[in-house]
Amino acid sequence: MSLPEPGTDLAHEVRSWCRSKDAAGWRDRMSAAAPAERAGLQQAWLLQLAEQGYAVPHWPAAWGGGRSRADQLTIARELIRAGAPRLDMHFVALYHAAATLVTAGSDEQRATYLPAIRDGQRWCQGFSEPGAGSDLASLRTRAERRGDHYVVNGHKTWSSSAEFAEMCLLLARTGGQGRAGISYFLLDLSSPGVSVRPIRNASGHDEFCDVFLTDVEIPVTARVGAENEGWRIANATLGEERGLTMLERSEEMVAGLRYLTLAAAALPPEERGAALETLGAFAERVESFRLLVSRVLDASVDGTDTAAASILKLVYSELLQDISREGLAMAGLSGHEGRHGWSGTWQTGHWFDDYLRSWEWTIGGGTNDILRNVVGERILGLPRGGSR
Amino acid sequence: MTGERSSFRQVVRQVLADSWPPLAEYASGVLPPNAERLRKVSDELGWWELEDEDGGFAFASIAIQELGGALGPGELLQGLCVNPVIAGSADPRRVACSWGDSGPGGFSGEVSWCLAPGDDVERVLVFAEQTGEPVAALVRSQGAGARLEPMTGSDPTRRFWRLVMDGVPPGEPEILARGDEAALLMSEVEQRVSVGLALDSLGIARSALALTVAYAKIREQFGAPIGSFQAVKHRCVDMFVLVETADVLVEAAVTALASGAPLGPSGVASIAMAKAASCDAAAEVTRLALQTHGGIGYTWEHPCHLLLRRAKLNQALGRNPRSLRRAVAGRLVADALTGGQETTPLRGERK
Repeated sequence: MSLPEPGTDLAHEVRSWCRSKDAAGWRDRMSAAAPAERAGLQQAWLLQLAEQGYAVPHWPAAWGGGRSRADQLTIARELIRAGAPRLDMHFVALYHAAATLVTAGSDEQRATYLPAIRDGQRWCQGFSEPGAGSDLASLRTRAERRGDHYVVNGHKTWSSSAEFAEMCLLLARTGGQGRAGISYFLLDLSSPGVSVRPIRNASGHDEFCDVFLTDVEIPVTARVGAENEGWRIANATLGEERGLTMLERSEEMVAGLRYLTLAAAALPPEERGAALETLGAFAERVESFRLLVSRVLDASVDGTDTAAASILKLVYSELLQDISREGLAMAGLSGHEGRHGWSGTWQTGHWFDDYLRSWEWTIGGGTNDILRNVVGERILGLPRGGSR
Repeated sequence: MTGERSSFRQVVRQVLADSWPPLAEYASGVLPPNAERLRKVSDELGWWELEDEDGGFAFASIAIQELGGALGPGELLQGLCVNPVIAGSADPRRVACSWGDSGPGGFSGEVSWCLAPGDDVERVLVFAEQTGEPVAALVRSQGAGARLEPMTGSDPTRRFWRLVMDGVPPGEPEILARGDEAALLMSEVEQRVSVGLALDSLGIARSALALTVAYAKIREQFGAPIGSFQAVKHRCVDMFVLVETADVLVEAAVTALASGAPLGPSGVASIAMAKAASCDAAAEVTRLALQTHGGIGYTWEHPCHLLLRRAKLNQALGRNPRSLRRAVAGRLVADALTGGQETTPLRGERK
């Protein structure tokens, strides 16, 4: 085991800060806030973290990070355990955009955007299209080269929090069909011709958006890497920090198990026997998920690979769907009563909403069906299907 | 340490390759295969004394898992798991083991599914109740009023024995422990048996997964390897997920046991979860393996049914997954109601 456990100086430092006046109360305030207000609160919280050196420990030292992997985990772990709010609106910026800039961006791009991201600039992702979901490489948004800029036309969708974002990671077609004709751009969402429209999702929230692009001009200097190299770059940075997200999720899942425990305890004695068996089975799955996350994070500290990394999202999303389904079943009608809230408690404070929102995880970030293809082919070495 | 463990795993595999039939030929031979050579080699290599060394159980656990995957002899599971507990009281190579509480009947009636280290067993470790208190005792297997007879069952890869006791004289069983001490010994044996079966099942599941993935790559239908079809590919991934999610639980249980310290509630839960998860995972993975192999998997010569037989019996041996889960859940409920659990605080009330 290479993870430093609580008790190290850094853990102690983070824990004390979490108890300080500066860190108190953020989660409650965010839980109660509507999206626009929440965006402002998240930005302010990010700046608090940045001041302590806890916002971007995973970045290179030159840009304000440079912490060891073990230290990054200690910081994340302590923040999560202290109930610090999630920075979901900054996630694409802090992890995905930053990783793209660090690994494939130009010096100028890094100098422009990394400090801005640390100061609270929000980013979104412009990958999926109405006709290009699981088959992302079939995307049709077109970028035509005209001298020192590109002219972009197309329609992007499922872009989380685009409504509040300033910048967008954009994939567009610059060449022929398939993966080899795609380029990667940094799109300023305030450019003329960009129109963002929220989509109300099944749970009633406006979390993701359509992004319409009509004759939008993007300077050539905003292209990442060479022309038609976009697919490779996107693949290299897409899975960035899934381990850290899952660390947060695994800690929250412990609270989820506790809610299920209370739901089982509230059942009349004649129903409790079967419920206990179910509860015991979920205790296993939650513990197993936590141990898998630890295994993946340990490996990342040691710089080694583990097959467990490939299945974290599968395991988590299906556990979430199943445990919320059981919670809803145990809670009966009371699990349906009331209105949905924001993500203040685990996960929304409402069994039915937790259940419904679990599809964000079984579909989002690559559907579990596609993920099974990927694991089958890359990890188990099974042959690709003829149709793809 | 990691390096030493992986080289020990290589040694175990080499020994199995030299002295045990490979899965592909397993079912064509005598069942269970003759274990004499394997027993001799493993004895010479000191596998039965592995626990005398630092982190010994971690090494024993590697051997048990590999033996499970090769459908190895059950006597080694018994030797590696139970002997360290009884060493000192008797020659462990002459003691068969029952799987826990034999019930309130005292030293009468039958104790089935005993595992024995060989044919020349002299005593059977029995947990019973005598004058109202638990006792752990060694009963002579062919002594007065007792006999040990071979039994048959669904799994032909291991030999099991039944101890029939009809009139064991009261002073005859050699009492190893009474009262709390006996209860402690019994729970220690139960825990070791649980971890042993979890390891055996994990090995079975890994073998079933490996066989299935290999077959899906070469078996062609409709002009393509069946592993290229999503229905088959996704099933293989589900099997892989079952193996990986059980693996981390089993690893945690081995760590808890290998520390040698008395187990607290979380250690006890860790072992229960490993037994339930791993034995269920192996049962499910072998079920899917047989289905994926199609007709060839349903022949006697193919090892699929043997892996499935052993996986199903492991579920039932020791404590079954249902009762283990109820025990784990019962503790969760008790802790939640008394607020005794050290967990993330609940953030806000929940509808």
